[in-house]
Amino acid sequence: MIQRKVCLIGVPAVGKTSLARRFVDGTFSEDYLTTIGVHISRRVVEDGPDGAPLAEPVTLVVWDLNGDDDFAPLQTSYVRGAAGALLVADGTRPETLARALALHRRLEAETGALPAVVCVNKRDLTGWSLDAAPPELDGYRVVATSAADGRGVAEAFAHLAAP
Amino acid sequence: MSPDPTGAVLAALGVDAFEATPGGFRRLGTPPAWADGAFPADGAHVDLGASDFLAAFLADADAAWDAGARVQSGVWTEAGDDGAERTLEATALRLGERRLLLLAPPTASLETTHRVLQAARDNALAADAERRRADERETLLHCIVHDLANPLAGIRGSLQLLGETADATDAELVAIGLRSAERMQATIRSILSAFALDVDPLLPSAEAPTADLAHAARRALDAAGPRARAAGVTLSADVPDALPVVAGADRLVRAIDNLLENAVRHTTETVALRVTTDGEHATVSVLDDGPGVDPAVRDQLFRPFVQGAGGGAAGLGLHSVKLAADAWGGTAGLSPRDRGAHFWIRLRTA
Repeated sequence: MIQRKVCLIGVPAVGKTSLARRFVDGTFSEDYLTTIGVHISRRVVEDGPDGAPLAEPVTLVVWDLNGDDDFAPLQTSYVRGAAGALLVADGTRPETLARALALHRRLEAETGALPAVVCVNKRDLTGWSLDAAPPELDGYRVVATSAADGRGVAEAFAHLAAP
Repeated sequence: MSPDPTGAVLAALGVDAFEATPGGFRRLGTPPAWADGAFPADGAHVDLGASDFLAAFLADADAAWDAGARVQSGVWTEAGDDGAERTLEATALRLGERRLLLLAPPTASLETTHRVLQAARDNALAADAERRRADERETLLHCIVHDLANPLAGIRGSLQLLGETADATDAELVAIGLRSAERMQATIRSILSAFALDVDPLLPSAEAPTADLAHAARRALDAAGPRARAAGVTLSADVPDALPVVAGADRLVRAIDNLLENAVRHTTETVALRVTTDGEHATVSVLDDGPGVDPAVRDQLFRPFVQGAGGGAAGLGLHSVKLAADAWGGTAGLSPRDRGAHFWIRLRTA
């Protein structure tokens, strides 16, 4: 079976672990628990983003990386060999989107091209908006997601299963 | 002669030790309890490549073994061959010609690291939220002072003048108006006194406050540094050693920080901060190389709840900057520029 390594990337508290849990286990917790290092999990994807079956099922190996900040900068070696990345931002904190895109630029400069899908997460919360999206967002595939209610989550991962 | 105790010692320490051989990874000694069921095994050899993390880490390990160096992985959490999740760290090192890989749970230090990191991030999130709330509260208080209290003082003065020349009928109406205005003033005073700490720097003062603009600029730069780095923006500064101006120190830092935050959000690559003086006045300028300000909103930008094209927290930041500058007898504005935006605050030197 085809395997693809995908990384969840973004600053802390944007919902990377929640998206991974929603995708892999179908669960969600309101509690924020910071990730240390990386958490790896897997799920077989059989359908593409449009809901149509893939020619062949794909195993996504999901690397949920610690949020990047001054306290614990992201280790770029974790990203090596990744087939793609979900750049995760919190739609109620516009600055996290710019920081996710900046992180992607930094990773690509260090490790080479890294196809990415942008998840503007927390779609279920009041205050979610894309109005303040930076112009650099043009050219990215953007999916509005909610780890809380599951909106957009399967679609975002499916884009990486069938790029 | 007693057997080599190394394997037993490693197991007692919770370390699973392997040697890389042409046939695969051979376990050294006894596996620790946590390793039971973690990796598939074939006779003497263990398939460490079954771990997605180790499969990737082995590239680093190979490089370290070739160089005779030592490399340590970060912490990772992953389900093992038995489906149970384990949190581990790996170390690759060479002893003579032997290529060794040591695996172990990160023990107590992980808990400590997790606790400290969690607390630091919780605090950072709370501080960020509090800063936004404080800015909004301060600006709303400003609105009360400037947009209600000051016009009310004008109304009272006018009514008092009217009362001096009014006939008996009009005098009664003027008196009613005056009492109403006084009640409104008392209400505003009550509201402001509830936020005394916040309001003090906003109210007119007989003694003008002084602050070091150069020091304030450096403090604001320090505060903006992490945001700029995270956004991939280069900050540059041209600031003299010291430059006293008429301003409140903490509020001046926040005003400059507001301009820097806007610039970092809208710029493409760089943000420059300059502090200059002509002797009588001092100017702090923040220049970015972003798309610039839409001419349609340029004249409105310093009014409350107005946002530029890129949006902002609540459209209060620049309004707050202008109110602060006005309160100190200075001004704040936006100057035309070929590329990007140039925001500035001009203050009286002290």
